[in-house]
Amino acid sequence: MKLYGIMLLLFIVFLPLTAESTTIPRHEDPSTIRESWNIMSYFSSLSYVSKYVSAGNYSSANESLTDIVNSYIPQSYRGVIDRTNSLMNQILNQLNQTEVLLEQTEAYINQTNFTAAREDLDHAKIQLNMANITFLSILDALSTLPVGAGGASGYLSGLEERIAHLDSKLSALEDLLRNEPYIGTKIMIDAEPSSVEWGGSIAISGMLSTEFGQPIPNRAIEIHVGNKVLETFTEENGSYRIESNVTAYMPQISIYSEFIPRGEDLFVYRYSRSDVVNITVHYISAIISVDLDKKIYLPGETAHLFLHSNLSFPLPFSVISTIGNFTGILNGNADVALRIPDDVGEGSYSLTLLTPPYGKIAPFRWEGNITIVKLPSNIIIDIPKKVIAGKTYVINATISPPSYIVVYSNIGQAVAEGSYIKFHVPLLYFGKSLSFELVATPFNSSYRGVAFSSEIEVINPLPIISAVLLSGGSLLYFLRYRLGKIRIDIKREKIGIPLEGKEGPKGSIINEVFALISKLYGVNMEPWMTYREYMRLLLNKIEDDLATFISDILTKLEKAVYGKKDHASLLKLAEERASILYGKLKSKLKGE
Amino acid sequence: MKEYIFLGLLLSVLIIIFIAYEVPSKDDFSPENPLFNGLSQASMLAGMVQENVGSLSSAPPNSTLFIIGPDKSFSNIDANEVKSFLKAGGTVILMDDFGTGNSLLEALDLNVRFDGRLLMDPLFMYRNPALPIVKFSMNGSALNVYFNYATVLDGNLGNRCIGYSSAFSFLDSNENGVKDQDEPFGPFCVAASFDYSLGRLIVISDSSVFINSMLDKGMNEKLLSMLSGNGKAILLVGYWNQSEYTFIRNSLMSSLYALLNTWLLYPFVIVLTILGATFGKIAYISLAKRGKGKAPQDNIQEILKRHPDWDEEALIRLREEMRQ
Repeated sequence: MKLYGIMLLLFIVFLPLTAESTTIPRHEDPSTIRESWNIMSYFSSLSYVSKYVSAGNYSSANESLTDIVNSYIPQSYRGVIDRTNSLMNQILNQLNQTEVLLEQTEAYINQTNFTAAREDLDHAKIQLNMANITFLSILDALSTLPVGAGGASGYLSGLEERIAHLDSKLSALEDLLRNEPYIGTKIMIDAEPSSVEWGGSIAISGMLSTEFGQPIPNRAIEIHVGNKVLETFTEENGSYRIESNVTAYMPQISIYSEFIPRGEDLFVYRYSRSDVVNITVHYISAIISVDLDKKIYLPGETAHLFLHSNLSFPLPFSVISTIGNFTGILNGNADVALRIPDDVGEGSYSLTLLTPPYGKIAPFRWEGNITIVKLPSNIIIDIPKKVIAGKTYVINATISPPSYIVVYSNIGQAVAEGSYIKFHVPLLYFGKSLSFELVATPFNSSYRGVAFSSEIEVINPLPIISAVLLSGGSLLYFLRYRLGKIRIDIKREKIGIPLEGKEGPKGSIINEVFALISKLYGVNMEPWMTYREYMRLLLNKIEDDLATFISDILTKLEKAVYGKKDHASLLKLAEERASILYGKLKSKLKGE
Repeated sequence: MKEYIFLGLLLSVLIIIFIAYEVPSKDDFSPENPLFNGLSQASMLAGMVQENVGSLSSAPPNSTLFIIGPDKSFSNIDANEVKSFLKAGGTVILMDDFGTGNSLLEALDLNVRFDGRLLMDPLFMYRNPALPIVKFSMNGSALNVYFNYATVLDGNLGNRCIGYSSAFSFLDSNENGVKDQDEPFGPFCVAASFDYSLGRLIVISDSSVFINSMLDKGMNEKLLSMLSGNGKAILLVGYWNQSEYTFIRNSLMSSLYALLNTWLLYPFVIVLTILGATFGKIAYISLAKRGKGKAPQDNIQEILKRHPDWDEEALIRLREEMRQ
């Protein structure tokens, strides 16, 4: 038996251990999991950033660095690595800035705009110097890690290569600017008249010369008139002239000219730009007022837009909106009817009125909103406040306008049949309430959908009936038991014997007997005793013949008390026997 | 004697109910479990309602069903219930790692499976490579989500993939914790979204993203709120292996709930009152009798039986003196 016990114990102890050793856990507590981090994984991720920089791909380098910043770092290395990451971020910005500045420098040199090129090159030089310092700081920070600066530089070779590449590019551009062979240019401009009607012509003239006043003939000049760019060529004396119609709807337009060297000139002349001349333009502005006939509309309705123009001649116009478009001619006043689709949802929709440019008349634009609402649906549902389990209910849902109805209930037995809803509450549903939800979608889209939900109280008769039966039954049982007991006690009191557990009345022959027994044998009929317990105590002390006598009396008494009418005669017999016993006991007492 | 058995039983039942009420389940993913591996916080935050697969048909169409770490395979009948839920416009979030979620994917006839190999990331992780950080792309926002002993998804997923591990992650096929030569490098797809009729199925290759100890990590909580949506959030129960304690606790608690919140309360109270009155009376009478004790003579006789060498008269005198 013991052996089996030990085997069972071993089985219980080892079974979970074997199971655990062969399966991957589904999870572990992150706060107690063993920390495991390899510094080489950090260096290998830095090498990715370095490679991207080497290829000039700064966006990928930045993405990788962001990932590294978000990667896990143990507390003991956090200070160094956070510092390194921040320096890496700095160097990426510095190198990227250098790249941009060098590209701009190249562009300016191509335009022979050497002043701007020099400025950018100086900035690029500062950025590159700062990048160099940052690189050394990175190596310095990494030297505190177990790999050391020497090991770290291997992973950052891409950065080093890029710095060297930019440095050589910068030097080349510096050389180019130092040996600049270009001649400076100067361009003048004049425009007449200073004020013009829309569509009218303006004459633009000027002169292109070297910075020393030497005219430059037969060169292309770009002239900017508002948003328009025109081109003309200089004459033999370096002058240029062009006429242009003003078609811009702007109160004022700016005019200036540029000389951008092309072809062989790229290696001879510098870029130059003239002063700006402003010209006033006169044109007509249309003013159109837009009024809507209503503030809110229903789907399917027609919205009327009343347009009024300050101009007396016809203007083409368009009304554009997500709910529909309209085009027409506005001749002073117009009434635009815009039908709102049936399937449009409630909300505010934008409306735009446009008139195109029309000769001297400037284009016009107006923006406003149109509000669409739906009419509320009306639902009258005759839902019962209480339902009884086991019954089927049919309730009428009057919904105006007519709608498609869907019903949900947690008892899962609700069905919509037209405007009637039928649901059955199962007899074995003991919950105190059920949820009921109705969703009605009107067939007419001008009306809103409506939802109705309610909690209905459920009364289940089964538990109520069983509770009533149980309590009624137990009450009846109690009453029967208690009433029977009271009847017996009354009978006992009548015949003058003590009640079980109570002092008996004095003076009856049976009480006298009990008193004598107490005197003679020291055994009392205590209040808590039954006759049998009393008898058991007495048996050890009293003589056998007397014991038989008393037992006989008590048996008769018991039968008389509990035995109903059939044994009523025994009471008298018991009293007779008690008188005999009394005599015997009395003589016994005298004899002593 | 009977009354003591009854009282003992009654006391035991009360103690068991008290323990069951006070001591929560320690089972994985149990919504009542407040420990590191439970879902108590997630279910509270998302307002998850626990339901069995059978009651899915009555769920509103915009509901979200969370199936987290199922231990048991899905039968065809149950898979059909999930299918109907999806067809009605519901969203299903299936989260599993080494379990049996593949049975549902198979039943739904989808070309995606849980790989089953352990995903590790030595760089993008929390404390240990087995707790990798992955990137989710949900509704135009990028989320850093922390996994815990996860796997990856297999299948030709293309643009259905909405979550990736980093390029440094690898599949630890032999579970030795380090990257071996034949073990592939990432990025791997760890989450995918499928349109399924009117509904949507999102498969995530880790079941532990929303357990209590992981919810506050990274953007796991945000992912939960994004996945829960605005409709009803349902947590599918009945697919986890329950411990004996959880089984007993759930049975007791559901019985108690049924008793206290339904009409069954009334007959129960009546029966309890009758039983209490009956056994209380018996116990009272028994205790009253015991208090009176045996006849003094019997006591002395009993003492003498145990100690025959003692003097009976001396004992009687002693008793008389004590009475005085």
